[in-house]
Amino acid sequence: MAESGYQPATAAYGDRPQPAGLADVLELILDKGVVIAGDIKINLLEIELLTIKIRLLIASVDKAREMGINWWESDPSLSSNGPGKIERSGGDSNGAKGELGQRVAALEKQLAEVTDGKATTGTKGNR
Amino acid sequence: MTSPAHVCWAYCVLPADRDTDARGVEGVIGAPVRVVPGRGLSLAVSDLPAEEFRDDVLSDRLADERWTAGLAMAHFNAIEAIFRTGPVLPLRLATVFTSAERAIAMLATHHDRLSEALVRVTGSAQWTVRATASAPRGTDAEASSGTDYLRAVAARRDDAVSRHAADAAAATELHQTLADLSVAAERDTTSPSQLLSGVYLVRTEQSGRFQDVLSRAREQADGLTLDVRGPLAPYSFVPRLEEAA
Repeated sequence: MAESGYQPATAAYGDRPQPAGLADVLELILDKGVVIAGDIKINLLEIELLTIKIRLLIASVDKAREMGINWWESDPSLSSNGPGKIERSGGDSNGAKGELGQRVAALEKQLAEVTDGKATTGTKGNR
Repeated sequence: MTSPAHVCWAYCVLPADRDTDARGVEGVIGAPVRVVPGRGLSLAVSDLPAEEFRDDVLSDRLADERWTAGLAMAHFNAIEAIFRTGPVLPLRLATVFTSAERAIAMLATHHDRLSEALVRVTGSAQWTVRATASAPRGTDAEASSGTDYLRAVAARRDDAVSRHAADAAAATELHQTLADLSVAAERDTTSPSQLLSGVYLVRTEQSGRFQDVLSRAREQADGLTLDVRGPLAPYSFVPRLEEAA
């Protein structure tokens, strides 16, 4: 089953043209497109229910945004589909990310030194 | 009566004179896509095991959200893959026939309107543009008294009203500019939370200018947050056959 194109509905916010998310796709292929009566009828109730679920999710995100409850967008740890959002929220999170990145790198270096030392000692001790 | 081993799942209508290679395009349930030539019009289809479309099997499958989402995405992705090689008219999800012959026969009954529509969309793509109001930037002046506080509340309300009017005007202007660059345009005014929800059929040679307008709008109209999708196959610019029938 091809699911590679599946994107969470909240991926719909960005500043550049992007491939359609699942919500857009469902709208395009359920509400639009040529209707030719096939001779096999398929009950699309389940797909329509899925559409409604996704729309409700989007509406609730929209509503929250309208009310200014959009704190998760500036919190990198909470915005899962990051790039667009982090970019949009400006230098702050990038700066924070850079600083964090440096600290992580420094800590990793320290850790490597420590474990190397231990490993050497351990090997010596065991033999 | 014997039941056939396969059903014919249809994706989109193509001009018959179009040399389309659908090899390599993956369809629903991982099936290959092939192009069935008809008189003047062709159809991109997949042959799917009829077993999968028995009512009980299918309703079990559809109850699985991931499977259903995958089915929808696969239908869409196949249409888009074929669209990248030339003009198409997308078919609505789950247009299924007992055989490719039946599908082609059904196509023939709508031949004229479908052919006209194909000519209209040839060389163009659909773009979707949505605009919502950007979150207001807070100006939290400290209120030193109750009167000040009430005054600030009133001022904020007046600001919001005038900001909304300005945003709505900017959205309408944007729509007009985009529509002028398009072969056809439709604005959906039924969603109150969106300042603009428009679909545009844009010729390939105009898509650069179309995107320039959007970039400028992003820079200038800072009250609007834009969500742009495209280029896509022309889902919204197809004939309504049912109404004509």
